[in-house]
Amino acid sequence: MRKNLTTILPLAISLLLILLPPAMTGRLRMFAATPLRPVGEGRRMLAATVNSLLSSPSSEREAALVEENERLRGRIDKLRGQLSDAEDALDAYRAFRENRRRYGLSEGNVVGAAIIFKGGTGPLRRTVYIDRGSADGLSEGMPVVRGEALVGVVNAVGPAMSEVVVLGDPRLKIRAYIVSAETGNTARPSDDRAAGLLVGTRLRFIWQQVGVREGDVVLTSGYGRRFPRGLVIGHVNSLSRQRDDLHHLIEVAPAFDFEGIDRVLVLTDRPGEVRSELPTPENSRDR
Amino acid sequence: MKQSAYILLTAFCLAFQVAVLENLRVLDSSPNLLFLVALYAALFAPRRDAVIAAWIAGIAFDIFSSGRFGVYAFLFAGLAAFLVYLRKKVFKEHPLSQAALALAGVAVVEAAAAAMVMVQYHAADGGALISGVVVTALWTAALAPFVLAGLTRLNRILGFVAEHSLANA
Repeated sequence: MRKNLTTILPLAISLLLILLPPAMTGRLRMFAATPLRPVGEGRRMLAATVNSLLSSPSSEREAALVEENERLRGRIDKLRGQLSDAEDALDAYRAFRENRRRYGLSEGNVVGAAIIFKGGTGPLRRTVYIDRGSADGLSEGMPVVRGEALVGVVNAVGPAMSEVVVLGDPRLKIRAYIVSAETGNTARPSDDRAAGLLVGTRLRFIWQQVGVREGDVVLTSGYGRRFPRGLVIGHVNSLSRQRDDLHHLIEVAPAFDFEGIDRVLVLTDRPGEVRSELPTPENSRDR
Repeated sequence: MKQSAYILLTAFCLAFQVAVLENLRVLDSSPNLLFLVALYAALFAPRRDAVIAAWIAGIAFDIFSSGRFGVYAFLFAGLAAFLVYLRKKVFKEHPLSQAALALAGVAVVEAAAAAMVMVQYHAADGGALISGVVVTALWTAALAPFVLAGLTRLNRILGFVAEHSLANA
Protein backbone atom coordinates (compact mmCIF):
# COMPACT_ATOMS: atom_id res chain seq x y z
CA MET A 1 0.00 0.00 0.00
CA ARG A 2 2.76 2.44 1.02
CA LYS A 3 4.71 1.57 -2.13
CA ASN A 4 1.71 2.49 -4.29
CA LEU A 5 1.16 5.70 -2.34
CA THR A 6 4.75 6.87 -2.90
CA THR A 7 4.14 6.43 -6.64
CA ILE A 8 0.62 7.80 -6.90
CA LEU A 9 1.06 10.81 -4.60
CA PRO A 10 3.82 12.57 -6.61
CA LEU A 11 1.91 12.00 -9.84
CA ALA A 12 -1.31 13.34 -8.34
CA ILE A 13 0.40 16.44 -6.92
CA SER A 14 2.03 17.08 -10.33
CA LEU A 15 -1.35 16.90 -12.08
CA LEU A 16 -2.79 19.32 -9.54
CA LEU A 17 0.09 21.76 -10.12
CA ILE A 18 -0.36 21.51 -13.91
CA LEU A 19 -4.01 22.49 -13.52
CA LEU A 20 -3.29 25.55 -11.34
CA PRO A 21 -3.48 28.98 -13.06
CA PRO A 22 -0.07 30.03 -14.53
CA ALA A 23 -0.18 33.36 -12.63
CA MET A 24 -0.28 31.50 -9.33
CA THR A 25 2.38 28.94 -10.23
CA GLY A 26 4.54 31.71 -11.74
CA ARG A 27 4.75 33.43 -8.36
CA LEU A 28 5.46 30.09 -6.71
CA ARG A 29 8.26 29.37 -9.21
CA MET A 30 9.88 32.76 -8.75
CA PHE A 31 9.62 32.44 -4.96
CA ALA A 32 11.40 29.08 -5.19
CA ALA A 33 13.99 30.50 -7.60
CA THR A 34 14.89 33.49 -5.42
CA PRO A 35 17.56 31.62 -3.35
CA LEU A 36 19.44 31.05 -6.63
CA ARG A 37 19.68 34.79 -7.32
CA PRO A 38 23.24 35.07 -5.88
CA VAL A 39 24.28 32.26 -8.25
CA GLY A 40 22.91 34.28 -11.17
CA GLU A 41 24.69 37.42 -10.03
CA GLY A 42 27.92 35.43 -9.72
CA ARG A 43 27.41 34.00 -13.22
CA ARG A 44 26.88 37.51 -14.55
CA MET A 45 30.08 38.82 -12.93
CA LEU A 46 32.04 35.82 -14.17
CA ALA A 47 30.71 36.26 -17.71
CA ALA A 48 31.72 39.95 -17.61
CA THR A 49 35.23 39.01 -16.42
CA VAL A 50 35.62 36.34 -19.11
CA ASN A 51 34.43 38.80 -21.77
CA SER A 52 36.92 41.43 -20.62
CA LEU A 53 39.72 38.85 -20.62
CA LEU A 54 38.80 37.65 -24.11
CA SER A 55 38.75 41.19 -25.44
CA SER A 56 42.16 42.07 -23.98
CA PRO A 57 45.26 42.14 -26.30
CA SER A 58 46.74 38.71 -26.95
CA SER A 59 50.43 39.26 -27.56
CA GLU A 60 52.81 39.36 -24.59
CA ARG A 61 54.26 42.74 -25.52
CA GLU A 62 50.84 44.33 -25.75
CA ALA A 63 49.79 42.75 -22.46
CA ALA A 64 52.94 44.11 -20.75
CA LEU A 65 52.26 47.57 -22.13
CA VAL A 66 48.68 47.47 -20.94
CA GLU A 67 49.84 46.34 -17.50
CA GLU A 68 52.44 49.12 -17.26
CA ASN A 69 49.96 51.64 -18.50
CA GLU A 70 47.38 50.54 -15.93
CA ARG A 71 49.91 50.79 -13.09
CA LEU A 72 51.03 54.28 -14.12
CA ARG A 73 47.60 55.63 -14.62
CA GLY A 74 46.30 54.21 -11.35
CA ARG A 75 43.87 56.56 -9.80
CA ILE A 76 43.47 58.76 -12.89
CA ASP A 77 42.09 55.82 -14.87
CA LYS A 78 39.72 54.92 -12.10
CA LEU A 79 38.36 58.46 -12.02
CA ARG A 80 38.09 58.53 -15.78
CA GLY A 81 36.15 55.28 -15.66
CA GLN A 82 33.78 56.70 -13.10
CA LEU A 83 33.34 59.84 -15.20
CA SER A 84 32.67 57.76 -18.30
CA ASP A 85 30.12 55.62 -16.43
CA ALA A 86 28.37 58.74 -15.20
CA GLU A 87 28.28 60.21 -18.74
CA ASP A 88 26.94 56.93 -20.17
CA ALA A 89 24.27 56.76 -17.50
CA LEU A 90 23.34 60.38 -18.19
CA ASP A 91 23.13 59.75 -21.96
CA ALA A 92 21.00 56.66 -21.41
CA TYR A 93 18.74 58.59 -19.05
CA ARG A 94 18.35 61.48 -21.54
CA ALA A 95 17.53 59.04 -24.37
CA PHE A 96 15.07 57.24 -22.18
CA ARG A 97 13.34 60.47 -21.11
CA GLU A 98 13.05 61.41 -24.77
CA ASN A 99 11.47 58.03 -25.55
CA ARG A 100 9.03 58.35 -22.67
CA ARG A 101 7.88 61.73 -23.98
CA ARG A 102 7.44 60.20 -27.43
CA TYR A 103 5.36 57.30 -26.13
CA GLY A 104 3.23 59.56 -23.95
CA LEU A 105 4.38 58.07 -20.65
CA SER A 106 4.61 60.03 -17.45
CA GLU A 107 7.95 60.70 -15.81
CA GLY A 108 9.36 58.12 -13.39
CA ASN A 109 8.05 54.60 -12.84
CA VAL A 110 10.69 52.75 -14.75
CA VAL A 111 12.87 50.06 -13.25
CA GLY A 112 16.34 49.19 -14.51
CA ALA A 113 17.27 45.51 -14.18
CA ALA A 114 20.24 43.23 -14.82
CA ILE A 115 19.79 39.86 -16.50
CA ILE A 116 21.01 37.14 -14.13
CA PHE A 117 19.96 33.99 -16.03
CA LYS A 118 19.40 33.63 -19.74
CA GLY A 119 17.27 30.93 -21.35
CA GLY A 120 15.23 28.77 -19.02
CA THR A 121 14.89 25.02 -19.00
CA GLY A 122 12.32 23.15 -21.09
CA PRO A 123 11.21 23.68 -24.68
CA LEU A 124 10.38 27.37 -24.28
CA ARG A 125 13.84 28.86 -23.97
CA ARG A 126 13.19 32.46 -25.00
CA THR A 127 13.18 33.59 -21.38
CA VAL A 128 15.48 35.67 -19.23
CA TYR A 129 15.51 36.20 -15.47
CA ILE A 130 16.08 39.68 -14.05
CA ASP A 131 17.19 40.80 -10.60
CA ARG A 132 14.07 42.84 -9.83
CA GLY A 133 10.75 41.64 -8.46
CA SER A 134 7.54 42.63 -6.71
CA ALA A 135 9.55 44.49 -4.06
CA ASP A 136 10.65 46.88 -6.86
CA GLY A 137 7.09 47.40 -8.12
CA LEU A 138 7.10 44.85 -10.93
CA SER A 139 4.02 42.85 -11.89
CA GLU A 140 3.04 40.42 -14.65
CA GLY A 141 2.47 41.86 -18.12
CA MET A 142 4.83 44.84 -17.87
CA PRO A 143 6.78 45.56 -21.08
CA VAL A 144 10.55 45.17 -20.97
CA VAL A 145 12.65 47.33 -23.29
CA ARG A 146 16.21 48.04 -24.23
CA GLY A 147 16.52 51.56 -25.63
CA GLU A 148 13.72 51.84 -28.19
CA ALA A 149 13.49 48.09 -28.75
CA LEU A 150 10.88 45.87 -27.14
CA VAL A 151 12.59 42.91 -25.47
CA GLY A 152 9.57 41.09 -24.02
CA VAL A 153 7.06 40.97 -21.20
CA VAL A 154 7.31 40.15 -17.50
CA ASN A 155 5.74 36.69 -17.18
CA ALA A 156 6.23 35.77 -13.53
CA VAL A 157 7.23 37.86 -10.55
CA GLY A 158 8.90 36.81 -7.32
CA PRO A 159 9.94 38.99 -4.39
CA ALA A 160 13.46 39.66 -5.71
CA MET A 161 13.57 38.27 -9.26
CA SER A 162 11.27 37.97 -12.26
CA GLU A 163 10.92 35.95 -15.42
CA VAL A 164 10.69 37.77 -18.77
CA VAL A 165 9.32 36.10 -21.89
CA VAL A 166 11.40 37.40 -24.77
CA LEU A 167 10.31 38.24 -28.34
CA GLY A 168 10.24 35.10 -30.43
CA ASP A 169 8.45 33.05 -27.77
CA PRO A 170 5.18 31.63 -29.18
CA ARG A 171 3.27 32.75 -26.08
CA LEU A 172 3.89 36.40 -26.87
CA LYS A 173 1.14 37.87 -29.06
CA ILE A 174 1.62 41.53 -30.02
CA ARG A 175 -0.46 43.86 -32.19
CA ALA A 176 2.05 45.42 -34.57
CA TYR A 177 2.20 47.61 -37.66
CA ILE A 178 4.73 48.18 -40.39
CA VAL A 179 6.58 51.36 -41.28
CA SER A 180 8.50 51.75 -44.52
CA ALA A 181 12.24 51.77 -43.89
CA GLU A 182 12.71 54.32 -46.70
CA THR A 183 9.98 56.88 -46.12
CA GLY A 184 9.28 56.34 -42.41
CA ASN A 185 5.54 56.12 -43.15
CA THR A 186 3.09 53.26 -42.96
CA ALA A 187 2.43 51.76 -46.38
CA ARG A 188 -1.03 53.35 -46.29
CA PRO A 189 -1.37 55.86 -43.48
CA SER A 190 -4.51 55.49 -41.35
CA ASP A 191 -5.12 52.07 -42.88
CA ASP A 192 -5.87 49.23 -40.47
CA ARG A 193 -4.77 46.77 -43.16
CA ALA A 194 -1.14 47.63 -42.29
CA ALA A 195 -1.66 46.30 -38.75
CA GLY A 196 -1.26 42.64 -37.89
CA LEU A 197 -0.65 40.18 -35.09
CA LEU A 198 2.85 39.05 -34.21
CA VAL A 199 3.06 35.55 -32.74
CA GLY A 200 6.56 34.30 -32.06
CA THR A 201 8.54 35.83 -34.91
CA ARG A 202 5.70 35.64 -37.47
CA LEU A 203 3.57 38.65 -38.30
CA ARG A 204 0.20 37.72 -39.83
CA PHE A 205 -2.94 39.44 -41.15
CA ILE A 206 -1.22 42.28 -43.04
CA TRP A 207 -3.23 42.52 -46.27
CA GLN A 208 -1.60 41.70 -49.59
CA GLN A 209 -2.56 45.14 -50.96
CA VAL A 210 -0.21 46.74 -48.45
CA GLY A 211 3.25 47.19 -49.95
CA VAL A 212 5.77 45.58 -47.61
CA ARG A 213 9.48 45.17 -48.31
CA GLU A 214 12.26 43.33 -46.60
CA GLY A 215 13.92 45.69 -44.11
CA ASP A 216 10.71 47.59 -43.24
CA VAL A 217 10.38 48.36 -39.55
CA VAL A 218 7.83 46.59 -37.32
CA LEU A 219 6.49 48.62 -34.36
CA THR A 220 3.99 48.00 -31.56
CA SER A 221 0.61 49.49 -32.46
CA GLY A 222 -0.46 50.24 -28.89
CA TYR A 223 -3.90 48.67 -29.38
CA GLY A 224 -5.14 46.88 -26.30
CA ARG A 225 -3.03 49.19 -24.11
CA ARG A 226 -0.67 46.35 -23.35
CA PHE A 227 2.38 48.07 -24.85
CA PRO A 228 3.08 51.73 -25.56
CA ARG A 229 2.78 52.47 -29.27
CA GLY A 230 5.90 52.82 -31.37
CA LEU A 231 8.27 50.44 -29.60
CA VAL A 232 10.56 48.84 -32.17
CA ILE A 233 9.92 45.11 -32.48
CA GLY A 234 12.33 44.48 -35.36
CA HIS A 235 12.44 44.50 -39.13
CA VAL A 236 10.93 42.44 -41.94
CA ASN A 237 13.31 39.55 -42.58
CA SER A 238 11.37 37.62 -45.20
CA LEU A 239 7.99 37.72 -46.90
CA SER A 240 5.60 35.04 -48.13
CA ARG A 241 1.84 34.53 -48.46
CA GLN A 242 -0.49 33.13 -45.86
CA ARG A 243 -2.53 30.05 -46.82
CA ASP A 244 -5.65 32.17 -47.36
CA ASP A 245 -3.77 34.06 -50.13
CA LEU A 246 -5.12 37.35 -48.76
CA HIS A 247 -2.45 38.26 -46.26
CA HIS A 248 1.31 38.49 -46.04
CA LEU A 249 3.15 36.04 -43.82
CA ILE A 250 6.10 38.04 -42.50
CA GLU A 251 9.12 36.72 -40.65
CA VAL A 252 10.38 39.38 -38.26
CA ALA A 253 13.98 39.67 -37.05
CA PRO A 254 13.99 41.14 -33.49
CA ALA A 255 15.68 44.51 -33.03
CA PHE A 256 17.94 43.27 -30.23
CA ASP A 257 20.52 40.52 -29.93
CA PHE A 258 19.27 37.89 -27.45
CA GLU A 259 22.78 36.72 -26.58
CA GLY A 260 24.10 40.28 -26.27
CA ILE A 261 21.57 41.81 -23.86
CA ASP A 262 22.79 42.33 -20.33
CA ARG A 263 20.60 45.07 -18.85
CA VAL A 264 16.98 46.02 -19.56
CA LEU A 265 14.36 48.53 -18.45
CA VAL A 266 10.90 47.55 -17.22
CA LEU A 267 8.11 50.04 -18.00
CA THR A 268 5.91 50.01 -14.94
CA ASP A 269 3.36 52.54 -16.30
CA ARG A 270 0.21 51.47 -18.08
CA PRO A 271 0.25 52.90 -21.63
CA GLY A 272 -2.23 55.65 -22.50
CA GLU A 273 -5.18 55.36 -24.89
CA VAL A 274 -4.36 54.96 -28.57
CA ARG A 275 -6.28 56.76 -31.30
CA SER A 276 -7.79 54.51 -33.95
CA GLU A 277 -5.49 55.75 -36.71
CA LEU A 278 -2.10 54.14 -37.05
CA PRO A 279 0.73 56.27 -35.72
CA THR A 280 3.59 57.32 -37.97
CA PRO A 281 6.79 59.07 -36.92
CA GLU A 282 5.20 62.34 -38.14
CA ASN A 283 1.94 62.23 -36.21
CA SER A 284 3.69 60.72 -33.17
CA ARG A 285 5.85 63.82 -33.00
CA ASP A 286 2.79 66.09 -33.22
CA ARG A 287 1.21 64.59 -30.11
CA MET B 1 17.11 8.12 1.62
CA LYS B 2 18.52 11.18 3.36
CA GLN B 3 16.15 13.86 2.10
CA SER B 4 18.18 16.93 3.10
CA ALA B 5 21.32 15.63 1.32
CA TYR B 6 19.29 14.76 -1.78
CA ILE B 7 17.56 18.18 -1.85
CA LEU B 8 20.96 19.89 -1.54
CA LEU B 9 22.26 17.82 -4.45
CA THR B 10 19.21 18.75 -6.53
CA ALA B 11 19.62 22.45 -5.70
CA PHE B 12 23.28 22.32 -6.68
CA CYS B 13 22.44 20.59 -9.96
CA LEU B 14 19.70 23.14 -10.69
CA ALA B 15 22.15 26.01 -10.10
CA PHE B 16 24.68 24.31 -12.39
CA GLN B 17 21.97 23.72 -15.01
CA VAL B 18 20.81 27.34 -15.24
CA ALA B 19 24.13 29.08 -14.58
CA VAL B 20 26.47 26.90 -16.64
CA LEU B 21 24.76 24.36 -18.90
CA GLU B 22 22.26 26.84 -20.32
CA ASN B 23 25.27 28.79 -21.60
CA LEU B 24 26.68 25.72 -23.36
CA ARG B 25 23.96 25.38 -25.93
CA VAL B 26 24.24 23.52 -29.20
CA LEU B 27 21.42 24.29 -31.65
CA ASP B 28 19.66 26.14 -28.81
CA SER B 29 19.66 22.99 -26.64
CA SER B 30 21.56 22.05 -23.52
CA PRO B 31 21.92 18.76 -21.60
CA ASN B 32 19.29 17.98 -19.00
CA LEU B 33 21.30 17.46 -15.81
CA LEU B 34 18.23 17.23 -13.58
CA PHE B 35 16.99 14.32 -15.69
CA LEU B 36 20.24 12.52 -14.93
CA VAL B 37 19.65 13.11 -11.22
CA ALA B 38 16.16 11.64 -11.63
CA LEU B 39 17.58 8.70 -13.61
CA TYR B 40 20.16 8.12 -10.89
CA ALA B 41 17.41 8.10 -8.27
CA ALA B 42 15.25 5.76 -10.36
CA LEU B 43 18.12 3.29 -10.79
CA PHE B 44 19.87 3.45 -7.44
CA ALA B 45 17.51 4.84 -4.76
CA PRO B 46 15.55 2.48 -2.50
CA ARG B 47 12.34 1.44 -4.27
CA ARG B 48 10.01 3.33 -1.93
CA ASP B 49 11.95 6.60 -2.42
CA ALA B 50 12.81 6.41 -6.13
CA VAL B 51 9.66 8.04 -7.53
CA ILE B 52 9.60 10.82 -4.93
CA ALA B 53 13.28 11.54 -5.53
CA ALA B 54 12.71 11.78 -9.30
CA TRP B 55 9.69 14.00 -8.66
CA ILE B 56 11.85 16.39 -6.58
CA ALA B 57 14.31 16.65 -9.48
CA GLY B 58 11.38 17.32 -11.82
CA ILE B 59 9.96 20.06 -9.61
CA ALA B 60 13.42 21.67 -9.49
CA PHE B 61 13.59 21.57 -13.30
CA ASP B 62 10.08 23.08 -13.49
CA ILE B 63 11.16 26.16 -11.51
CA PHE B 64 13.05 27.57 -14.51
CA SER B 65 10.80 26.06 -17.15
CA SER B 66 8.35 28.79 -18.07
CA GLY B 67 5.74 26.33 -19.38
CA ARG B 68 3.12 24.70 -17.19
CA PHE B 69 4.47 24.14 -13.67
CA GLY B 70 4.49 20.46 -12.75
CA VAL B 71 4.93 19.01 -16.26
CA TYR B 72 8.51 17.86 -15.74
CA ALA B 73 7.74 16.65 -12.21
CA PHE B 74 4.96 14.49 -13.64
CA LEU B 75 7.12 13.17 -16.49
CA PHE B 76 10.17 12.48 -14.30
CA ALA B 77 8.05 10.71 -11.67
CA GLY B 78 6.17 8.69 -14.30
CA LEU B 79 9.39 7.59 -15.96
CA ALA B 80 10.95 6.74 -12.58
CA ALA B 81 7.93 4.57 -11.72
CA PHE B 82 8.53 2.66 -14.96
CA LEU B 83 12.31 2.40 -14.43
CA VAL B 84 11.87 1.06 -10.89
CA TYR B 85 10.27 -2.04 -12.45
CA LEU B 86 12.83 -2.17 -15.25
CA ARG B 87 15.99 -1.76 -13.20
CA LYS B 88 16.26 -5.40 -12.21
CA LYS B 89 16.35 -6.38 -15.87
CA VAL B 90 19.12 -4.00 -17.01
CA PHE B 91 22.81 -3.84 -16.18
CA LYS B 92 22.38 -0.44 -14.57
CA GLU B 93 26.06 0.03 -13.69
CA HIS B 94 27.20 -0.27 -17.30
CA PRO B 95 27.89 3.07 -19.03
CA LEU B 96 26.22 1.93 -22.25
CA SER B 97 22.96 1.00 -20.56
CA GLN B 98 23.05 4.29 -18.65
CA ALA B 99 23.57 6.22 -21.90
CA ALA B 100 20.81 4.25 -23.64
CA LEU B 101 18.35 4.82 -20.79
CA ALA B 102 19.24 8.53 -20.72
CA LEU B 103 18.78 8.82 -24.50
CA ALA B 104 15.40 7.11 -24.50
CA GLY B 105 14.22 8.76 -21.29
CA VAL B 106 15.14 12.33 -22.26
CA ALA B 107 13.69 11.81 -25.73
CA VAL B 108 10.36 10.73 -24.19
CA VAL B 109 10.31 13.52 -21.57
CA GLU B 110 11.37 16.32 -23.93
CA ALA B 111 9.08 15.10 -26.73
CA ALA B 112 6.13 15.07 -24.35
CA ALA B 113 6.98 18.58 -23.09
CA ALA B 114 7.45 19.84 -26.67
CA ALA B 115 4.17 18.23 -27.77
CA MET B 116 2.38 20.08 -24.98
CA VAL B 117 3.86 23.37 -26.19
CA MET B 118 2.92 22.62 -29.81
CA VAL B 119 -0.66 21.78 -28.88
CA GLN B 120 -1.02 24.75 -26.54
CA TYR B 121 0.58 27.36 -28.85
CA HIS B 122 -0.28 26.57 -32.45
CA ALA B 123 2.29 29.05 -33.73
CA ALA B 124 5.20 27.14 -32.20
CA ASP B 125 7.93 26.21 -34.66
CA GLY B 126 7.62 22.41 -34.75
CA GLY B 127 10.94 21.88 -36.55
CA ALA B 128 12.90 23.79 -33.90
CA LEU B 129 11.16 21.92 -31.09
CA ILE B 130 11.91 18.52 -32.64
CA SER B 131 15.56 19.37 -33.28
CA GLY B 132 15.69 20.61 -29.66
CA VAL B 133 14.42 17.24 -28.42
CA VAL B 134 16.99 15.30 -30.48
CA VAL B 135 19.96 17.48 -29.51
CA THR B 136 19.01 17.54 -25.82
CA ALA B 137 18.65 13.73 -25.81
CA LEU B 138 22.05 13.22 -27.49
CA TRP B 139 23.77 15.78 -25.23
CA THR B 140 22.31 14.21 -22.08
CA ALA B 141 23.08 10.64 -23.18
CA ALA B 142 26.70 11.61 -23.85
CA LEU B 143 27.04 13.01 -20.32
CA ALA B 144 25.07 10.25 -18.59
CA PRO B 145 27.89 7.73 -17.87
CA PHE B 146 30.15 10.45 -16.41
CA VAL B 147 27.46 12.09 -14.29
CA LEU B 148 26.08 8.78 -13.02
CA ALA B 149 29.59 7.54 -12.21
CA GLY B 150 30.07 10.69 -10.12
CA LEU B 151 26.68 10.42 -8.45
CA THR B 152 27.08 6.75 -7.49
CA ARG B 153 30.03 7.84 -5.34
CA LEU B 154 27.48 9.76 -3.25
CA ASN B 155 25.36 6.65 -2.57
CA ARG B 156 26.36 6.47 1.07
CA ILE B 157 25.90 10.21 1.71
CA LEU B 158 22.46 10.08 0.11
CA GLY B 159 21.48 6.88 1.87
CA PHE B 160 21.03 4.94 -1.38
CA VAL B 161 21.70 1.38 -0.23
CA ALA B 162 22.85 -1.30 -2.69
CA GLU B 163 20.10 -3.55 -3.97
CA HIS B 164 20.00 -6.57 -6.21
CA SER B 165 21.79 -5.85 -9.46
CA LEU B 166 22.83 -7.87 -12.49
CA ALA B 167 26.39 -6.80 -11.68
CA ASN B 168 26.16 -8.58 -8.30
CA ALA B 169 24.28 -11.61 -9.62
